[in-house]
Amino acid sequence: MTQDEFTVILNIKSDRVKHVTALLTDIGQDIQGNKTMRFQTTPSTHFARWVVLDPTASGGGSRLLFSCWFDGLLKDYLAELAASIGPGIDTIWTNCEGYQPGCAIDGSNLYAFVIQNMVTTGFFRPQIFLCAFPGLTAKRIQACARIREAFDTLLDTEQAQQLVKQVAALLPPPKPPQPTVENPTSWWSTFTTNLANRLVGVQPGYVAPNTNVQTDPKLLNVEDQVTQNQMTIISAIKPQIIPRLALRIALWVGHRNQPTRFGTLSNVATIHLARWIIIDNGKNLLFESNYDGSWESYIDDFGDLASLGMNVIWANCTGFPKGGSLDIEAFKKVIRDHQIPAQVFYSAYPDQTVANIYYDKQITEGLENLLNTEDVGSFAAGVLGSGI
Amino acid sequence: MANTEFKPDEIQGIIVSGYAHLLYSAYLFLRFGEIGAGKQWLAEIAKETTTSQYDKSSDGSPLKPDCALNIAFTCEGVRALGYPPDSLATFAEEFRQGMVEQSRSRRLGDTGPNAPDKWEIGGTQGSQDPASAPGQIDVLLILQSKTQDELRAFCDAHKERFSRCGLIEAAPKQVGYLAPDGKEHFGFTDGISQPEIEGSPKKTKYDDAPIVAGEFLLGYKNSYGSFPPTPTVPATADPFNNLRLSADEPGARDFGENGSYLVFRKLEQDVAGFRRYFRDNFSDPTQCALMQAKFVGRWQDGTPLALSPLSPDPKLTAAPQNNRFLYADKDPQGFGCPIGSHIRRTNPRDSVRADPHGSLVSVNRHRIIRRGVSYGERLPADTYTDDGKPRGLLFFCINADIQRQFEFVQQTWVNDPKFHGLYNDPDPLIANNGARYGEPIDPSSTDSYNMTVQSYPVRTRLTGIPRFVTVRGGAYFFLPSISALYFLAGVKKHL
Repeated sequence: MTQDEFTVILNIKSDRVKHVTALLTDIGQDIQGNKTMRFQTTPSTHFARWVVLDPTASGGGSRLLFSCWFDGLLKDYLAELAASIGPGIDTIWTNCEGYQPGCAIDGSNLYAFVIQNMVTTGFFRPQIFLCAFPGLTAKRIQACARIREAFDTLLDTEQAQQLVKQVAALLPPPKPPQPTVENPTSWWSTFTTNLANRLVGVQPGYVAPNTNVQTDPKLLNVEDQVTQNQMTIISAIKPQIIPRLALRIALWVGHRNQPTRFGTLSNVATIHLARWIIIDNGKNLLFESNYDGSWESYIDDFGDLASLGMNVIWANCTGFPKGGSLDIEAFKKVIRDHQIPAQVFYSAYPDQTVANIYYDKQITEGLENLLNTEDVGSFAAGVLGSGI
Repeated sequence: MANTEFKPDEIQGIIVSGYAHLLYSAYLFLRFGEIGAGKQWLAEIAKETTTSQYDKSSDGSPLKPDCALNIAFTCEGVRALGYPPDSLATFAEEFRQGMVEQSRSRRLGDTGPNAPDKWEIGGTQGSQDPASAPGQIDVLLILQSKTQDELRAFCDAHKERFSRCGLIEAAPKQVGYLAPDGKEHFGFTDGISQPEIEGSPKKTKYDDAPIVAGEFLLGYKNSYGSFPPTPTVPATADPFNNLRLSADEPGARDFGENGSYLVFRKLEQDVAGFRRYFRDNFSDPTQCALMQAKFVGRWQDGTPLALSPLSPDPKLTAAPQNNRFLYADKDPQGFGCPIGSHIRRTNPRDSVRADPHGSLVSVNRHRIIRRGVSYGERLPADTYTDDGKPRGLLFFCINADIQRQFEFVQQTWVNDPKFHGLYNDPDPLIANNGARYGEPIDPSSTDSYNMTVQSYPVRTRLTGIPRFVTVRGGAYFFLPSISALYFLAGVKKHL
C-alpha cells in the first residue's frame, strides 16, 4: 500500500484566529488524551499537523494548514477520517472561510472539499515527496515495534540466550562490517556541483558576517516533546523567471533521483518523510518534514549530507544565504526565521526512530518465516511438508 | 577583523590550560551591589587576571603561575555592568536565556530530580525568570592554588576585597580539587580525552589533528571555516578604545574577540549506589569490574575498551596511547566499547556515520574543552553505604557555541535514548534516570532506561538503570578577553 499526503490551507475568519489557535493548542498539548481529535482512532494516519500561518508581509489574513500522511487512497482515507475525527475537523474548519459546517463528518463531502481545496501538483508545479519506508503501513510499523519489544524481552531470559549461543556455534562466524569509504569526489561531480550552485547563485565559501540566530520561543516550546519532531517552513519564491524555473528543475530532478536504499532519505537516516511543494499560485514554497532527535543534529545532517540539495532548492527563495547551506550560522538563521510552530503534531509512532523502524521490520520478517503457512506450511503451527 | 594567531596576553588562562599543578580551586558566585564600586573592583581584578601568556624563567622556559584568577559573567552580570542594552542581543541566545529556560531544561535533561527549582546554584527556586530568582548570579570568580592553605588565604583576601566593593556571594562558594591519582569519585581516571587547540602555545599531548581555535575562542576561524558569532557594542560605548573595531559591523567594536563561553554544572555522584548496583548485580568481582568499564568505555585505570576489551593494559594508560584510537576500524559494533557507553557517546569519534572520515569531521564540530574538578571527600574503599556527605564533579567546559557544542553533546549524544540506533539507552552513567539505586522512583520522573552491552552472538541488556548523577546547579557564563574586562570596568586598559 502506498503512502500519500494531502495539505489543505484555508483562510481563517478574521475574528476566529485567537479562538482556533487556542483550540488547536489545547489539542496539541494533549495529543493522546484530548477528546476533540483522537488521531489514534484513525489507523491509516502516519503523521498529521495543524499549523496556524500568520499573515504574510504581502497581505492577507491568518491561514490554517492541515496536512496528513497516510496509507492507501485519499478517498478511503478521508472516509476513515470523517467517520472517526470528522466532528473534530469540523469544529476547527468551521472557523475558516469557504467551509460548509458539517462537511467533514461525511466521507464523500469531505473528499469533495479536500479535492477542491488541497495543494496540488502538476507539470509546472512539481514537488519532491520523500518517504523513508515506502509501502510500510502505520499499522505494520506499530505491530513490528511490539513484536521487537516482545522479542527483546524474551532475549533477556537465560533460556533464549543459551539457544542463540547454540545456534551461533553451528554457524560460520560473521564477517565484521566494512566501513563504507566515500568515493573520492570525481571531477565530474565537482563540476556539476559547482555548476548547480552557480546556476542558483550560491557562492560556496562565502560567510555572512556575524550572524546571530534568534529562535521563536513558540518553536522551542513545542520541540523535543517526543523522539520525533516536525518542521514546517514556508518561503517566498523569488519572482524572477530564472529562479522560478531553476526551482522547478530542482524539484523535478530531486523527485526522480530518490535514493533507493530503504530507510534513508538522501543518505540521511533520521528523516521519516519530507516534502517540498509549490503553493499559493507559485508564490511560496512549502517544506514539511518529520525527523528524529534534535534540531541541531537535523541541521548537521542537512549541511553534511545534503548540502547541494538544500542549495539548489532553497536558493530560489528569498533570504537564503549567499554562501548556501554550509554558511552554517546563516543557514540556521534562515531556517529558524522561516520555521512555523505547529499547534498540533501527531505521529502514530512518536518514539520510533527511522533506525528503530528498520530493525523492527527486519526482526519481524525473520519471525514471520516461523509462521509462514503459504508455501511449505508453518513450522510454529506444526503444519509441515504440505508444499514440498 | 579577526585573528590568525594566538594573542596569549589577551586570553584568560583557563581557556588554554587546566593548570594541572594548581590542585585546589574555588568558585565564587557573586552579585554586584552598587555598580560604581563594582566597576572599581573589576578594574583591579582585570589587572590580576591570569592570562595564557606565561612569564619566562631565566633559561627561557615558561614559568607556570603559582596561582590563577579567572573571571566570567552571566548575561545579568554583563547587563548590570552597563553593557549597552540594545547590544545584548548580539550575545548567543542560550547565554541570554540562561541554562534554566524551560525548553532548554528539557533538552539538557534538567527535569524531575535534576530540575533547576531544586538547584543549590543558579536555579530558579520557584521563579522561572533567572533575573528575579533569589540566587541570581552576576559573576563567577575562579581562584586556583597549589595547596589548600594557599587557596584559603587567596579566597579570604578576595572576599575582603569584593565585600568592600559591595559584591555579595549569591550562591554557596564551591571548592574542588584535582585528585593526585587523577581519578573521579566512581574510581575512574578522568580528563583523558581533551581536544587540542590548533595554534595553542600549550604543547600537544596527542598526534591526531588538533581542533581549530574558533571552536573554543571567538575571533578565530571555526570548523566551518567561518568566525563564530561574536557580541559587539557600538563604538561610542567604548570611549577608551579598549576593543578592536569590528570588521563586519561598521561603527561597532568586537567585545567577544579572544573570549569564550563557559558552562558550569554541579553534578552530584551517588558513589555508594554505584558500588552497590554493580556488587548486587554482578557477584563475580571480575565481571563487576568489566561491567563498570562497559558503562564508562574505559577500565578504571583509563585503558580504552576499544583497544583492550578484556583487561586493563598498563601500556595503554598514559598519553598519548590512552586516547589514540578510533572505533570504525577497531570496534565498529561495540563488542569492546559499547555503543551506548559514556565515552563513546560523549565523543563518538568516527562512528556516528557510515563514512568514518565524514563522521570525524561532523563529530569534531561538537567538541568541548573540559575543566572539571572533584568536590567532596572520597567515599572510603569497600564502603557500600552512603555516608551522607555530598561529593561529585564541578563540571566546567569551554566552547565558542554553547548550542552547537555543549548542548548538542548533552541532548543529541548523552540524553537521547535513541542514540546510534539504540532503543531506550541514554548515557548509563550521567543520564537523567528515574531513581537512585535502591530508592523509589521519583514521582516527577517515571523514566526507566536500559543499557545494552553489545556481544556476539547475544547482547546483555540491563534494564532499569539507576540514577548515579544528579544535577545540583548550573549556569552559562562568558569569559571575556582582558581588553573586554577593562571595557566592562569602564577604564582604559593598562599596557
